[in-house]
Amino acid sequence: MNSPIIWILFPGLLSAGLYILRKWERLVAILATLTALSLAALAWWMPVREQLFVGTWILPFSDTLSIFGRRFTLEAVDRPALIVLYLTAALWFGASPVARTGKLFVPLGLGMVALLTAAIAVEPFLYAALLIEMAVLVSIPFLTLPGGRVGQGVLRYLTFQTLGIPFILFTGWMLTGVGTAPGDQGLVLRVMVTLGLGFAFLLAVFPFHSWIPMLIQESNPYSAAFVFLLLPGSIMLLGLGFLNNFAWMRTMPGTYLLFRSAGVLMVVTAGLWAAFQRHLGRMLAYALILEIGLAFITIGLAQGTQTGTFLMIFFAAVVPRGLALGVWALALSALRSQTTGLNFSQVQGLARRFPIAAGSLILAHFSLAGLPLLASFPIRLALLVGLILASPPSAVWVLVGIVGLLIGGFRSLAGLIAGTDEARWQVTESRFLIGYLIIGVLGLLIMGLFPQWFLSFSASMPRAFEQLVP
Amino acid sequence: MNFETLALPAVFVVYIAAVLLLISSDWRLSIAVLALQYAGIVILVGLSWPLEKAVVKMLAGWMAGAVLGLALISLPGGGRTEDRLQLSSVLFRLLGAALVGFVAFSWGPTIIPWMPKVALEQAYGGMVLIALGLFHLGLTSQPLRVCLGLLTVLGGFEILYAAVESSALVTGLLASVSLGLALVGAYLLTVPTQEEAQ
Repeated sequence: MNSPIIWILFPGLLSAGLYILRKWERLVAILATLTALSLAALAWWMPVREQLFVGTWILPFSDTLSIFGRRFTLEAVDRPALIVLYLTAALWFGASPVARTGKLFVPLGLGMVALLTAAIAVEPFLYAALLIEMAVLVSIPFLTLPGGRVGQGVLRYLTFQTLGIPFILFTGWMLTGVGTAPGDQGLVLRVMVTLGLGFAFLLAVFPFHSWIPMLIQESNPYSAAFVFLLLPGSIMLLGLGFLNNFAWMRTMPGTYLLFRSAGVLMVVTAGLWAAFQRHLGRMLAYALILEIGLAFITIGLAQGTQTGTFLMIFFAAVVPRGLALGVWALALSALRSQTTGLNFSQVQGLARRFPIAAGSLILAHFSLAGLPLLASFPIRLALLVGLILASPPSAVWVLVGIVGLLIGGFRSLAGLIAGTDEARWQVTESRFLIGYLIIGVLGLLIMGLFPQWFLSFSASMPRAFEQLVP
Repeated sequence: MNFETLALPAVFVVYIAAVLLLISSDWRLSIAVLALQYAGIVILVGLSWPLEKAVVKMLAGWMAGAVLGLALISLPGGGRTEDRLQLSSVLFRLLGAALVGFVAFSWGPTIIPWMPKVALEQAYGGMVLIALGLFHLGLTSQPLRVCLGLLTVLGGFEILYAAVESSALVTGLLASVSLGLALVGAYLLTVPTQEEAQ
């Protein structure tokens, strides 16, 4: 027995089994939720030993699996990432029937999680790019439901993610050359350009961001948000792997400046577009782009003596982001099922019939914008303080972006409440949906009030990058 | 097996195949040309790898073509996914392909100082496929054509990458990506005709 069998092969095989059972949507959702919860619990409680005690049996246990001479390793330092990954999956799968994600979401979603876990585990870490591409391919069917038309967003998503892979793989090969000739400035420049292009394609950096709003507009927002939560997170871990493995890269001052500049650009553009947006789905998309930008800025600040602090902030942001996105996307899916579209003109007055869904959506929006007392506020505050000290102009631009998202939130609120007629306020959502949304909203409030709970949880996560945080 | 004598003809084969993919309106011709393109790719990859390993690329490519073909054949209307290209469109694409091909051929030798292990023919073949694949992607919004464009770009990349990386795991993963692309392409081609209950 070994860790990769438990957290990669087992969920991968189960996903194939659930695909066969997909006709029974609720059963599949329950099985996948329980499995994901069990895997998260195992990652939390299972002791890291060389032997596993099952009753009276003693089984040898290892953290490595070899395939074709390459190793898949899930060590103790990877456990927090596994907990986050499988807990997110469990939360998403649990509400999938009410979000009307279709029968393919849960089986393929679990397969996607298994592939992303493999991407964390594979050595050399560069091969993670190919596993991430396979996760992208697995996600396409649940983003385009049977009977629907194939939109431009899904084709662009497929194209950009696939085009990013060659750049990452080429960079990996070139980096070995830099290791042998670190003084070759031409080679260093080529590495930075190819690496930058690769990550720009994969992480929707401006101007390669257009597919995110298009895809959310075309697909079920709940399924799309699941992809946009897990995929950028895994790609960022790949990026941190580069910094961790190549000393010259993390000692080059331009590297961190590049991360910060790309992040500021994304935050500003996303915030400004959100401020003028008139479509609730696209609003979520710009919030996602803004989140990716903020994650870039956090990595950009993680240098010198501040590395440990900002890496902790980077990982701490994952939990409130995941919860807010989950609540936002679930509420949006619920509203979408009641209208022909998500333009402001089409959702006018919807809050009067679906107050819990509309209220949760707005609260999640404000949480991602960093409003005080909500989950993301402590993280935003810590990030902005760090950015002000490092580069005050960048902090001002980031504030502009965040204010843009906040304005977008107020406009969404106005759009959902305003109506031509004075309809009576009534709660018409299903009990399950109400329960799920209220738990999510309470989570956002509790995290905002007691941030130390999830901050302490994420404190050990940077240890997976031992060269970055000695 | 010595592929060196076949390398230059293989460059022309992949170039002609990529141009035909660009202008073809008949999916049967496109699938046949894709198979031909992979035959050219395997010769160019064979300059760096032993034949038995290089053939994996061709098998993956041919299987990808077969998957796409089966999906198209199952479509109502015999797989007719788009209107025939007009003469003006074909001429534009041919002119574009000539220009892109010219650029790719002129850039080919410049990547050899960066990647000394790459043979000149591999550089030509790889660059031509990447450039024409990108050109193809820029001109289309059809699932079949997007899939063919991506397979063309990946084919070009695989030629260049074979010269620097020979890991069995990477070979397997790249083959899986090609097949996965074809499966996704097949899904996207058939998805409008599938019933929602599926």
